[in-house]
Amino acid sequence: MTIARTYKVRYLAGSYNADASSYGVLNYGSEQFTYGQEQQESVLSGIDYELLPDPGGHPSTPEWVYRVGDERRFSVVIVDKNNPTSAIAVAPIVKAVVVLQKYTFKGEALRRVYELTTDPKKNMLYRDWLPGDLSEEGRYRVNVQILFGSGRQFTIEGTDSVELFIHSGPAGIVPQ
Amino acid sequence: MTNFFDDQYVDGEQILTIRKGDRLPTFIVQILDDFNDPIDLTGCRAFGSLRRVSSGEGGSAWGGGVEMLVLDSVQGIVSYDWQEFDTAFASPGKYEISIVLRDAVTGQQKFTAPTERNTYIEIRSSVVDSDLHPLATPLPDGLLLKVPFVQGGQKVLLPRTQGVSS
Repeated sequence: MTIARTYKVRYLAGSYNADASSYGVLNYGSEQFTYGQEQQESVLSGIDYELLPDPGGHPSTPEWVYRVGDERRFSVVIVDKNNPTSAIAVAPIVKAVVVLQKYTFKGEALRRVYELTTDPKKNMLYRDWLPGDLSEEGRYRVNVQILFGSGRQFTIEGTDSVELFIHSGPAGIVPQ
Repeated sequence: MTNFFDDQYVDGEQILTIRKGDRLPTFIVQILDDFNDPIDLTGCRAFGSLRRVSSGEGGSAWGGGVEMLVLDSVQGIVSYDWQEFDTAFASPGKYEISIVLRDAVTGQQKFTAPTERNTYIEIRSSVVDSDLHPLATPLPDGLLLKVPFVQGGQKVLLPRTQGVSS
């Protein structure tokens, strides 16, 4: 074993293969390591993940913009910040929710929790908003929480940097 | 290696952020020497421990320490697969991590990495209090949770029973 004056530790963000049949394959240089995870799971060896809006597919501020009452689909892709070219495979996800927390100066925050649907073909999570979902204008912090079949839970983003805006709706009642 | 920000992880403070109740992202680190060359861990066992450095209530996410997997001894790569309740019962806050390397045969402590106190795991509060867990009560779609703000900016979740369903 090497003797050193000081020892350092660095977090290792390897590439991941979202379609790997065996879970836990980490690419490091030209080598591959398997680190004892479960099969048929998405391989997540990154250390920092972010949410990207779709359409768009790149970071923007705010990530999603709606008007009150809109029912336009909410779509999100989860990528490794250090390897943003491929999304987390959503097929092994058994449950996913999006949590919207409204920024407010009141004494308590309001969080709304909505279920998301997986789209394995596009590796995307989405929700078709229902009437009443986007009923309150404001600025919301967005978190997505996913649960894999193995029981592993993951919340993105860890740093709370993604936002959704709901602007006021049209004046009066719009004829159907 | 496809880490676009490779160099910044070697020196200075490093923080891995994970949410309370989460088991991802996976903990994988590489142990390096003064010249950023990997330490050969052949014949070693690795044990990790977390010390809370944030103010407020104490607590450790790994109790008295956990054994980690030496993934690649030559490259000095060590990983830990978060277990069911590792972060679920930990107080949100910043934790200093240290990894003790012991001789696999004699158990003698060889060294602790990092030598400097500069590597951390930040456990942040859960956004929905681990309600995705298969054993938890399913969340009603569109559930409205009222969450009080606490002075100092830390957010504390109410128990599920106090949430208000819309």
